[in-house]
Amino acid sequence: MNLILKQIFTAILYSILLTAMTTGALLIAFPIENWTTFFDLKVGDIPFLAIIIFMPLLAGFIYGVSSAIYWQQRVQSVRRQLDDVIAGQVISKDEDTYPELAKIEEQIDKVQEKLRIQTEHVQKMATERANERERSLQEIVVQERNRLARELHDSVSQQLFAASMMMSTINETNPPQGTSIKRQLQMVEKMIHQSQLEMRALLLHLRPVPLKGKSIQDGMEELLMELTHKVPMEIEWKIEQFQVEKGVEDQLFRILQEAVSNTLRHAKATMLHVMLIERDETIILRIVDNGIGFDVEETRTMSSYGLSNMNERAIEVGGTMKFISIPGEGTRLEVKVPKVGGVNHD
Amino acid sequence: MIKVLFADDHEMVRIGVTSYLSAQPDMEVIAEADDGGAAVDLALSLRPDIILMDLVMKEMDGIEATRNIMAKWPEAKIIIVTSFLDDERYIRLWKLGLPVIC
Repeated sequence: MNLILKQIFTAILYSILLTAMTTGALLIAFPIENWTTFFDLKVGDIPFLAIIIFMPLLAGFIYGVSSAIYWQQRVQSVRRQLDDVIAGQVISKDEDTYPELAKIEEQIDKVQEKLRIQTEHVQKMATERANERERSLQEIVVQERNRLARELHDSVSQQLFAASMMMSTINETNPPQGTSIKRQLQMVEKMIHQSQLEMRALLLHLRPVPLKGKSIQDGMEELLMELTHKVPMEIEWKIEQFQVEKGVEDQLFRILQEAVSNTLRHAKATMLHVMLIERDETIILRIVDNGIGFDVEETRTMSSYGLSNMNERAIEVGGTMKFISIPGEGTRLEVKVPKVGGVNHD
Repeated sequence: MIKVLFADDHEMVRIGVTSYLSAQPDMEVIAEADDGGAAVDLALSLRPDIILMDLVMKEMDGIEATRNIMAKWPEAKIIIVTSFLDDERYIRLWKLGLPVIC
């Protein structure tokens, strides 16, 4: 039942009861001889009986309404505050506080504080879980790439090597006589070499060699030296010696590997120039090839995985990456990383 | 004639390399092994002039086989063949003083 109605009803009931009891007591104390006079009794112009019936009704009604309003205000205030708690908002306090509610409000505050702590806890756990998921996902990706690289190396690379050996055997023992077959065999040989080249680039991409405690300069020189032996491309480099923060070293090295892998796979370049220098407290890594180039904008809109990956690496160490590529003339990649404290210059 | 023993666990690589080596007028592949253990047995029984040894093989790898051969036949001439440049094993080979062809 509605609070107001209930209050009014109860108040009227009590009022009637009280009146009936008082009247009863009066009648017993002063018994009425003649009942007809009782019915004729009048206060002013109003019959006494009507007063006995209507006064308590009126009094009960007035008391009921006022008490109902009084409590409803307080109940509503509590309800509003609880709504705020449920919604997780800051509790909006009324201007006029009700002393009866002081204790309840205090408890509501406590409940809210408890909820806040729990929410915080849950959120922290969720963040941790998300981070962990990401970490394990990355781990899986690395493992899977390693596995792929190993399998490719164990199968396709070996078979290509075997095929190239067979080609060499044919060329040395039994060189073809006809010009047509000679040309075809030359093409086969070229295809095998191209495939080997792409395999190497792919493996470099799939399983980047970590620096393993070497300085970036040593790592770069080793990698480029190895490539010089393995790929038919003129590779030049200019590497200055200076201290680089460990995290920056790793990312720059990966960017280099990625870039070289891209050049080997897509650029059809005959020359590769790599430069690592320090100018004005900025580390500059520049990788230039004379390959076929590509449309930077188009590749960007295609959101090429390799490029965005390199870009992310650059950003991760507070650097910037810039691509300039002219179709038919080559590609130039420049990464600039500001050098900030913490590194000894001696 | 230079007698060669070739150990590699890839059949196709064995075919390719053997055909190439056999094509040389002064070389002859007298045996092939697909595992380090077989390479040790063949090396000790046939005593080839040179042994070409793959680094990574399943049962017994090239390093283990090389060590076993050299323990019983220190004069053996062994060339390790590998395509793993970044491999830790490669460095261990260097430390053994073995020539490596990549």
